[in-house]
Amino acid sequence: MVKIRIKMKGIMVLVLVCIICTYLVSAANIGLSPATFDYREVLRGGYSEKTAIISTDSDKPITVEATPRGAIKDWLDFSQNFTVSKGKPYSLRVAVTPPADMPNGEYDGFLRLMTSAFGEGVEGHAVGVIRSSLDLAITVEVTDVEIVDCSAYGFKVQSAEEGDDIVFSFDISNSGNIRLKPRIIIDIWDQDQISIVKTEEFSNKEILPTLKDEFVVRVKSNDLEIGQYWADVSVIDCYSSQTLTFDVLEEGALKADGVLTSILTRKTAEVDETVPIKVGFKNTGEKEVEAYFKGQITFGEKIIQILETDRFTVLVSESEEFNLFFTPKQVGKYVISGRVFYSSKRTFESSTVLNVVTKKFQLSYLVTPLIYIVLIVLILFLFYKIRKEKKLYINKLKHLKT
Amino acid sequence: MKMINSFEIISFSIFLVGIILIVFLLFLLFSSFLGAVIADVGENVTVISEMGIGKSPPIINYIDVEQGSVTLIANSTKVVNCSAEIIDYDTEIDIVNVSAEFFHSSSGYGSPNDNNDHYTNYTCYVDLSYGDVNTVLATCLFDIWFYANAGTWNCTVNVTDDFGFGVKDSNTTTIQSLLAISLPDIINYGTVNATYVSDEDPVNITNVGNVMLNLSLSGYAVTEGDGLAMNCSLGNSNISVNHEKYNSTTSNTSVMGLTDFDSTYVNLTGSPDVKEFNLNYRSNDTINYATNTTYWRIYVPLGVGGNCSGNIIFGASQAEGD
Repeated sequence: MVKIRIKMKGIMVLVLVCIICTYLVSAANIGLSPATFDYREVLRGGYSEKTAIISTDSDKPITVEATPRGAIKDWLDFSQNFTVSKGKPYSLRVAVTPPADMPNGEYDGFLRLMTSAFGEGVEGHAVGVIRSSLDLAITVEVTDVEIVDCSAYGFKVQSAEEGDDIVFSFDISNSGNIRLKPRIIIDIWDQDQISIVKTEEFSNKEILPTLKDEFVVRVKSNDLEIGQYWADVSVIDCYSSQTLTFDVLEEGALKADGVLTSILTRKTAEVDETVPIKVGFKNTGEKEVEAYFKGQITFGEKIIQILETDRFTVLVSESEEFNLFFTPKQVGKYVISGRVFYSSKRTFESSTVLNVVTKKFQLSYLVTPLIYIVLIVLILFLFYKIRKEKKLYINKLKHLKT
Repeated sequence: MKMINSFEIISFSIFLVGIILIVFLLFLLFSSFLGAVIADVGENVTVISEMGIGKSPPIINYIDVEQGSVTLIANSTKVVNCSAEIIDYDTEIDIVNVSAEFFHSSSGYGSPNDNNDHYTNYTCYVDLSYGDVNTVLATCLFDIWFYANAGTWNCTVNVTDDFGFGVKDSNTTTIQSLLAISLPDIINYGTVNATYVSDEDPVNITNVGNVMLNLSLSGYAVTEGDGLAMNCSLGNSNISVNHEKYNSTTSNTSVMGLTDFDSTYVNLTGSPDVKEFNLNYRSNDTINYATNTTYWRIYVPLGVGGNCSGNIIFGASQAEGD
């Protein structure tokens, strides 16, 4: 019994020592990435924004206080207090707005990110509680030159049921130094892309410099009949545009949709060589479709061959491959293009290029002319031989007569 | 009569040999057209065309590495995903292996692995359910350490198929700089009698980022800039900030009087005092040399007692030229 008590005491002491040791060696790690911000070509009275990530390996949430220092301290806008813990890094957005009367030049400063205390005092001891701070160095270049630069990407459209709005969405990134109100034009074309059936223009949302934002525009479908349409979405200020396709569907109808995934052929081929052409199609809609590929091969401005495959039933989410062959007769660049037609719809046109080169010289190519030559020589020889024999025969006849 | 017969025989023989030769040569000439099928307009003709299509190598359609920017985590690893869309027009199951190397611009493809500048994933995860029967998505994950060099990194993906084709392609991303510091929670001077200097307490400062750092030190008792090192529960209540001192290079563990203390150690100040610490980041995968030790003591003046506590701020900033 006494032995067990002694053992228990020993274990407890050991556990206590471990706890104390753990406490003494505990350390908090805090990090800031990136360590510097360099704001280039910020317009006087303009706006620029960047984001830093603050991370820690502390399970206990650490409060961080941000304080600006230096010549630019009054230009900065940021969250002054936030918490960060392990697995929950904080995205610190820092915006800079130089005053409108600021001369051009480079200005420095920093944002001091100070943590709350990691530990606390110990009874009867003199204790210095440690706090850490990280300095985010900031440089701002002020300019009076306006820069317009933006890009639009990620264009999307959703098919709509009769009467519902057609929703177009895309992202715009303003990489210039002035705020933009991008002008957006949407031209809606009929299925054959022959005539524009509707045009809408939008310009009501603003985007600040250095920011990215999603733009959503709605077009009424009341005046559009059921069917497939094409839409050219253009963001004029960004010189960006994209053609999309959408359907106006009957209420409750399943959507047919598909993608021409690829037109694949060899990069180069020789004259008179038969090359395979593989066309990939994927059914991305909600019902099975009967699909076929229709296209053409052009050589310069001239259509060399019309391509059309058999019809295949393609199940939902399945892919189909259409196989075709082509034998070029001339050296040059051939363009193979076409679309897949399905459920009274068509995919975007896709194309590929086949470069045709001259046949490499082979000894076998000499056989045919050689045979011709031998034939001619042989015929001439036979002709000569027969004439010679005939001459001999006549001479001998004459000789016999005399 | 005899003569006529011999001439006819010779002529006939020559003619026969000539005809045989001509037929043979014509056969040779047109043998390639023997299989041709001729049909009138409107008739159906079935032509059997045979062609062997060779194996085609896989194609790396695109590579994305964290959308062009990687932010590391202090004293930890960050999973970086280098994903590649691969197309094999034979069939996706032909893809035998996908591997990838992720390396800093100072390193190169095929260089040895080093947590600072080069990582390899020998077998990336290949998702066959992605896309159609010809397309896969290869996910190449790398655990990137906090001390990986900042700058431009390249992810090169290598795909091999069962026909022996090997295809390589690459894309780049930027690993951002990481300013990070590891410190203990407290400096515990223990129980110090009034008019005595405490024992020396070493404090390890570790660079847990990927940039060289400098350090600034300052202290306060209750509010920043109060000019005090500690606030105590008994007596005069305060210890001046000048009585807390440090030495950033040399340790001296001997018992010390106030005079030696003043001459050996540097005063802590109420406002940040930047030191050229130049503590570089970790560059050795096995041993961490990115730690410096500072040595601390405090003098407790007469009339102070009870529990004393204050705050010490260790400020890190990126060293110039890093």
